[in-house]
Amino acid sequence: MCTYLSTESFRTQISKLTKKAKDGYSSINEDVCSVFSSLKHEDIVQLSTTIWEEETFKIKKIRIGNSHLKLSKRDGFRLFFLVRKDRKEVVFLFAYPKNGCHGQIDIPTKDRLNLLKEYINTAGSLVKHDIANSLAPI
Amino acid sequence: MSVVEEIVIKINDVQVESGKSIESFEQVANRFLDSVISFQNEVRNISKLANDLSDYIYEGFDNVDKDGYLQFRAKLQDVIKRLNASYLIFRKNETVYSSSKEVIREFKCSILDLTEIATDLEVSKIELENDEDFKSLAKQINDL
Repeated sequence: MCTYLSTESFRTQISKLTKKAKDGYSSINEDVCSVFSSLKHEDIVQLSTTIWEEETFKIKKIRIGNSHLKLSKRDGFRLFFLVRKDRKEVVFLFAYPKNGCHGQIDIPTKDRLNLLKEYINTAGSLVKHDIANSLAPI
Repeated sequence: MSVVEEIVIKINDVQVESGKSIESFEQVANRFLDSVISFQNEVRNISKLANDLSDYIYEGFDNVDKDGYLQFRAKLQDVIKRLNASYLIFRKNETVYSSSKEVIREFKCSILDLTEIATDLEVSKIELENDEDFKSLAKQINDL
């Protein structure tokens, strides 16, 4: 069983997206959980797409559907995360919708680097989440 | 001829002409609708092809190494350039755009999705390898 952790940037973003139900992103926690709750660690390591791989980790960017708005994986959310290969740990770095008022086309390279820096600087104080309970903090 | 008779004649004239016009306007309108439907079908077809390509690259992303990517990189960039050029033509023509807004909007989404996955390929297979800042961060993460 994997441990699921997050950085502040991820949590702040989720909070922003779920603040107003009418924005259409309120299902993001459940949508993220629905992807990971049925996967073993080795499955997560193999998920497409791998942006970068090192000896002990992979950085991934995956598509997730938006069940609230019934949007496909292509039109739903993107989740940017890191999965450790040396231990059963997944770290959520950022998520964004493709459409709607908070829609983004992509994460610029500069922002990706900042997310990784944040992970490095706060590795000791990441928040743990329950993947079986809508990413509730543990 | 009295004014009333003149008016009746003029009404008859308009009646006859508008009868002819209704028929020819209907033919013109049908031809216009046919061309709009045909245009929309063509745009939907290109959108579907772009979406299929984007999905295929996404699913096979991890099976593409740098050398493999370089084999199709230029073609992929050219395809995206052409799609964007088509979109600009549709967008610039008010009649075309107003007749097919939703289809053209979906076409734009398809282009953006394809651009996104193409950018991910470029970043992952080419740029990060040469990014010293990134490699330094990767080393730090390795050591965590």
